[in-house]
Amino acid sequence: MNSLILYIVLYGTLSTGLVFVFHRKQKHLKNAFLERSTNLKGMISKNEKQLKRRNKALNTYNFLTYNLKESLLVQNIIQL
Amino acid sequence: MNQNTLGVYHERKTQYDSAFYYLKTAKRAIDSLKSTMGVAIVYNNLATVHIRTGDYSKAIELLFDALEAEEQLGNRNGIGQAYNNIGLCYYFLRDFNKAADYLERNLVIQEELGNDDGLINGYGNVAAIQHYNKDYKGAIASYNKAYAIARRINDLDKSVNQISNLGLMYMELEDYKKSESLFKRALHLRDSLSDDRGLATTYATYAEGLISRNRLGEAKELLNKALKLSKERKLLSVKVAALAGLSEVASAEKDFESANEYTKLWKLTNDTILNEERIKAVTEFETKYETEKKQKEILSQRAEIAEKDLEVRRKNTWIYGSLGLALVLGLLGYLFFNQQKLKNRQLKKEGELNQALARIETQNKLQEQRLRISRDLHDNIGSQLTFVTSSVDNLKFGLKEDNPKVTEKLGKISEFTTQTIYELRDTIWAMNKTEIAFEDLQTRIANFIENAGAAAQGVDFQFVVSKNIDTSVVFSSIKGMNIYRIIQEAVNNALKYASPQRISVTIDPQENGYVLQVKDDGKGFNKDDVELGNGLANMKKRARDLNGSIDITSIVGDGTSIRLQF
Repeated sequence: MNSLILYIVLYGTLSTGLVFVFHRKQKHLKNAFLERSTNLKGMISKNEKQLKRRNKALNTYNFLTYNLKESLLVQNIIQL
Repeated sequence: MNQNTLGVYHERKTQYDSAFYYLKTAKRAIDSLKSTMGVAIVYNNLATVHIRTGDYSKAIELLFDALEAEEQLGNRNGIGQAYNNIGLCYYFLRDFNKAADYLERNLVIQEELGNDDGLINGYGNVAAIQHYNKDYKGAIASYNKAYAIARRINDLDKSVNQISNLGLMYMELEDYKKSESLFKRALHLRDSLSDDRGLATTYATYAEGLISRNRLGEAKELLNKALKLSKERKLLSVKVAALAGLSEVASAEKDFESANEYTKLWKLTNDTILNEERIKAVTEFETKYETEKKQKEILSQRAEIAEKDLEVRRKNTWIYGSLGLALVLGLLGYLFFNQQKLKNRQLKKEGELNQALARIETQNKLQEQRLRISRDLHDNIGSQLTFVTSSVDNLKFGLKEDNPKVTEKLGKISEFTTQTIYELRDTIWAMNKTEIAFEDLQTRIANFIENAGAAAQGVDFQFVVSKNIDTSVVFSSIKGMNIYRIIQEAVNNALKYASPQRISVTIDPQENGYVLQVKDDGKGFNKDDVELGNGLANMKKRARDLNGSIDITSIVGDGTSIRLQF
């Protein structure tokens, strides 16, 4: 009986410790991934915005007035 | 041990006082050593002397001590001997059930060990019990076995014992001839061996047979010899037998006084042997021995149970430990697996995001580059073409009056250059704008028609798009541009040349494509009479670019229809 209690305490502590360590590690991994994915998504979003902005400008081209100069929006520096 | 050897020597010589002296000295010496080694031998020998002198209770006490010592030593032969001697004591004490029990125990051990001496004694003793139970044939068989072994090992003394005993058995079976022959042979051999005890016993036994055959004189002679020897050698059991025999003979001879005397002596001697107190002491001692044995067995069983319990505990501990370890390892495996799964999922997502980013970045940079080139094209070539147009217009203005043909030509050059500028702008736009939705195109066409309607008063415009067309469809920007320019050219031509009341533009779906129709109710023209201008040529070129076909139908006075399938 004593040995059973001893084993329960020993393995219980060991198991709890393992779960705690892995939980912390997973949390760290999740945070790091969140940071990286947020950066990537931000960069994708910036690119999308730039593409949308230029497409919006291209949509202003009028087939009757031929206002090409206005619709060709060129950015001097691509900010990524 | 020399004392022990001397004791045995004197016992064999039936000098029991000397035997007692040496064996008791040996016992004191061995007791002082407090060791089990040698105890059994000395006790056994001392017990043998007590048996010889008829003190069976003391003999049994010593024999149980010897048995205990032999059991501690695990000496099977010694244990067998102790059983045998205890059995003998019980035999002499007339407790034949116990005697048979111990003698059988000895016989089992002796057979197991293959011990010839032990077997001879064992069979002899078993035969004695069979004799008591009147199983004479069984007894003869047992004595014969003992005799056969004694003969085989050339043990004369033991052979004689068996002969004497066989004589007695045949006497019981009333085969007197054979019995007498055997007794005589036994007496002769015992005499030659100077075996006084054996001689006395055989005298008494032989005499018993003679009495039953009414040969009283011979019997009396033999019984007196036996009595004399038993007195000299203190052989109580023989003395009892001799006195009983003499009493019987005296009675048979009607000498009642002697018979009474012998009977008294017999009773006295017999009482000495069968003393109740001694029996009680023997029983108590046996009980004590059995109790001790049982206690030892209980202790042994307890120890065994405790050992088993300990073993079970050890096993349980091992099982719990293994189970716990397996669970922890399982948990560790699960946690690793889970972590790896998370890492894989993150890597996959990250890879997808990186790919999407690479794709969109490439697209972004490509578009930026294309826009720069487009801007350069527009700024350089566009401005140059504008300069050409402007120069031609100036030239045309200067030559207006002088040369009408040159002026007309210059006008066409200016118009062509302007058209080229528009074409360039459209191309640049279409190059940058990858696609155009049908809805967007529809809106642009509707705007154009609305503007045209506003410019041309009195003309009824209709723009109809079939409800069966999927408005979510997307065209490439070049395709969209060509559709738009064909409609523009057709409407402009109708307004310019046909003076129509009504112009309709319809778009309908057809199998694998669309049908666009621009129709007016103007004056129409004969294709053979009219030289087709740049406008119609452009429309055909655009139709080819759309991988479609254009069909122009015109009836003079009934209007024109331009049908484009793409």
